[in-house]
Amino acid sequence: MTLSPEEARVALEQIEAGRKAARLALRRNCGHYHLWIWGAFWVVVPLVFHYAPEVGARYTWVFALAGALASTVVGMLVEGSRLRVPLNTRFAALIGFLVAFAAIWLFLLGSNNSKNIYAYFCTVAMFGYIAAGLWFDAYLVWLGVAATVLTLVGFYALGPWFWIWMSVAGGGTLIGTGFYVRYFWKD
Amino acid sequence: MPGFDPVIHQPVRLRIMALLCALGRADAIDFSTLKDSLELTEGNLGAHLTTLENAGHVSIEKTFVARRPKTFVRPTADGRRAFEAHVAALEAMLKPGK
Repeated sequence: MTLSPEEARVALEQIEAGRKAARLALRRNCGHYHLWIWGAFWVVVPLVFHYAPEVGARYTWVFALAGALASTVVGMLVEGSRLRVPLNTRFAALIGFLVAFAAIWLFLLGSNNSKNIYAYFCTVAMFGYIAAGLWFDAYLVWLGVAATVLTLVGFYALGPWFWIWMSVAGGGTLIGTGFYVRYFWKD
Repeated sequence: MPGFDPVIHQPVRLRIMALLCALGRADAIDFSTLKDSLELTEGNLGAHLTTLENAGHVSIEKTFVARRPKTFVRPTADGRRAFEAHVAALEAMLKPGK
């Protein structure tokens, strides 16, 4: 069978269309659900700390556990029903070590200030996003950098408005990125 | 034309193979997601997948996820090689001097 260069060019365009569909399928799989889950966490927890600091200090782990459970359920029931992704053991190990070192550093630093601890965990979480982005998809790198910068701005510049800033700017960034990935990303 | 695969070359099958081979970290995609991603009908996609499966380019697995029946599609190793060779053959046609 012989093809003209024009037919070959049209065929390569079909291939590029298929590759683009693959990129969209990967991005729209379920990443937006995780961004909405943890965006809601970033919105609610700072507001609790702002208006009821003692409640926040005592029950933040409950919110974190609820977020982790929700993410796990989404990962197992929704993600796995669309795309089957084998466990990347090296990446899982990277995240495991990140969590372990984050806990060790917190223990060594010994901070008992809610604002310090919250900013610390936000930046650690965003470091995880950046690592995931380097591994999988560049938008997570930009999201991690943006949320880290927003956290630092709130921490160093906004004093008593830190919690409100984190709720609106931090949570809003995660939720907004989730909507962008799900509904507006075209390529 | 070395590397050219007439089964893969059909336009819809080209897009199916391109998508499957580009999934990267995901090694299989379910039938509904594939259908929606390529904007095909069930019948059309099913017929093309059968052709690709008969040629040994894809494997189709029927299973259950959360008690619901699911059909997962993945490219075979031979299918990936055939697709890459096909793309190389098409690109070679567009090189100067061809």
